Amino acid sequence: MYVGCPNTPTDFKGYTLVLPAVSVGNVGQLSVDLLVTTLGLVRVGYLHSDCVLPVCGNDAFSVGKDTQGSLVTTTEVYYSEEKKIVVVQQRAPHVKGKQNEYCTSLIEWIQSYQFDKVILLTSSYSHERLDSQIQGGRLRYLATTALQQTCEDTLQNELKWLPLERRESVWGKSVGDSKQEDIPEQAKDVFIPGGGIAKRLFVQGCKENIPLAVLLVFCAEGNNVPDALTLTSSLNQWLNLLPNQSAGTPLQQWKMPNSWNLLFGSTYDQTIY
Amino acid sequence: MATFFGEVLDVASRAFDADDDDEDYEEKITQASSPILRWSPGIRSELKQSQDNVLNCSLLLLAIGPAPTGFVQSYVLSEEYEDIGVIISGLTSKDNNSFQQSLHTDKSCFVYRLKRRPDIVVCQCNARVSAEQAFHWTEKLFSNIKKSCVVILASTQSTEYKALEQNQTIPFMKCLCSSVFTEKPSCDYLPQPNTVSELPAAVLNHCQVHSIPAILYMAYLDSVHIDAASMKVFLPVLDNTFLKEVSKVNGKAEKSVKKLVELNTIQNPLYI
Repeated sequence: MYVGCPNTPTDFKGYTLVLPAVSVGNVGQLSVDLLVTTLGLVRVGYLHSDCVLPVCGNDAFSVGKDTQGSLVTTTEVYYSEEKKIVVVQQRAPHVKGKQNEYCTSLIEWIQSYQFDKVILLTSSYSHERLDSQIQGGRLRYLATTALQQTCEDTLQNELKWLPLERRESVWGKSVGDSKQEDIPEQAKDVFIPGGGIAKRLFVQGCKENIPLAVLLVFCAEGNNVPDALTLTSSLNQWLNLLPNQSAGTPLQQWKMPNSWNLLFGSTYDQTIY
Repeated sequence: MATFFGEVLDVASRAFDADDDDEDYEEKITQASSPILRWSPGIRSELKQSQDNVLNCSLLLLAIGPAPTGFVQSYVLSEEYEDIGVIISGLTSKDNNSFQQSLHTDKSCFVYRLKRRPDIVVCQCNARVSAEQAFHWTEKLFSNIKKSCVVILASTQSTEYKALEQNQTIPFMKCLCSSVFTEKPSCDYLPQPNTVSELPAAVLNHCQVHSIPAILYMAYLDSVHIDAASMKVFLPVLDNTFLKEVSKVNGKAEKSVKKLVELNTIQNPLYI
C-alpha cells in the first residue's frame, strides 16, 4: 500500500501520523490541506491502493501565482523531519465496499512503520447531535486505551477537550447481537454519523491496540473552511506545530493553497443577463 | 433537516455516502468481471523469450474515449499495424461482446503495434472503464510493459473546466505529467483547481508512483458527438519525440477523420 519516494525513511518511529477521513463537509481533508501548506511539508510517498477512486491534478499546495507542473495523485504522504509529523492527504472517496480492506491495510502500515501515535481528523453531522451536544464547543475526541495511557491527561485536563458521548442503539441489543460482541468495550456505542471510516478505523484500532485518537467537529455541508480552521487550530494546540500559537486568528495563522480557488465552481458569463 | 414549508428532508453530504455505513454492502458489490488481459500468440512467445516477461516498448500511447481514439486511428494507425492484445473489463452475465466494438455492451479495449515501428504500442480504449475497475485495468496493462514513455490522450466536457476567466476557445487541450517526464509538453499545464478522474487518472497515478515518464493530454470539448475539431485538437501531441516520424499529416488522415465523423453522425439521426 505505501510506496515511498526514493531515499526516504523506512520507518517513522517517534512520528505522529495525521490522516483525514472523507466525511461531511470534507473537513478532515481541508484541515490536512492547511497543515501541509502552512508547515511546508514535503512529499515522502504514496498510498497506492485499489480501495480509493483515482484522481490527479496539478500542484495542489502552491501559494500565490506559481503553477508548476508537479502532479498530485489520489493519496499522498507528506512529512516533516523537524516536527516529527507525517500527514496523509486523500483526495477521493473510497470504492464502495472496500472500506474495511482499506482500514486493515492502513493498520498494517501503521504497525510496520511504528508510528508513535495516530490522529484521524473527521467531522459529524451537526443535525444528529444530542441535546447536550447542541450548546458549547463543537469539538469532540475519542482515544483508544493505548493512547489514553500517554495522552489522556493532556487531552482532558490541559486542553479540556470533551470525549465524544456514547450513543446506545435505539433498536435495543437484540439486533445484530453477534456483531456487537466483536466490538471491544472501549469502542462500544460509538456513533459518528457522516464521519466516513472513523468508526471502522477506531474499532480496528481498539482491537489491534493502536495509539489512535479521532478528532471531530460537528458541522453541516456548506462553506466548511471555518470548520477546518477550528479543527486544525485545535490540533495545533495539542501538537504545537506552529512556532507562535498566540499570534493572530486562525485565518491569519493558516495558509490556504491554490487548490482552494473556485471552491464553489467557476464564475459565469455576466453578459447572459 | 426541516425546510421552510415544514417537510423533513434527508440531508445528503457531498463527501459521504450514507450507504457506506451498511456493513452488508461488501457482499453486494457488483458482480462485474475484473479486467482480463489477453496477448496474441506471437506476443506470448515474445514474452516467454524476454528476460523478465516484458515487452520491448519505447512508447505506450493510450487513447481513452471517442475523440482521442478517432485521432489515433487517423493520424497514428494510418499505416500498417497488427493486433497484439485485448483488455476486457466490467462484463456482466447479461453483456454480449462482439470483439469489434460494434455493440453498445462491448467492453473490450484493443492493443496494437505498428509494423514499421514495433517498439510503439497503441491501446485504443473506446469502451468505458469504470473508476472502480481503473486501478486493476492499469495494473494489468503494465504487467508486461515497463519503464517505457507513456502518452495518454483523453477528453471531457468543457463545462468541467474551472477557471476564473472563461476565455478559452473550445476545444482546447491541457496537460499533466509525472515528475520524471523530461520533454517539453505540447500545451499548457492544467491549472488548479481542475482535476482528472477515472481511467486517465489511474494510469497517470500508476506512472507517477512507479517513476515512469508519462504525460496526459486532456482535451476539453463542447460537442457530445465527435467532430473534426475535437479530433484535431490533439495535433500538437504529434510533436512528441517518438511520434514525429511515425505520423504524417497527409490526405489519408483527413479522409479518415471525415469518415469517422460521418459514421458517428449516421448513428445519431435525431439532430441533423
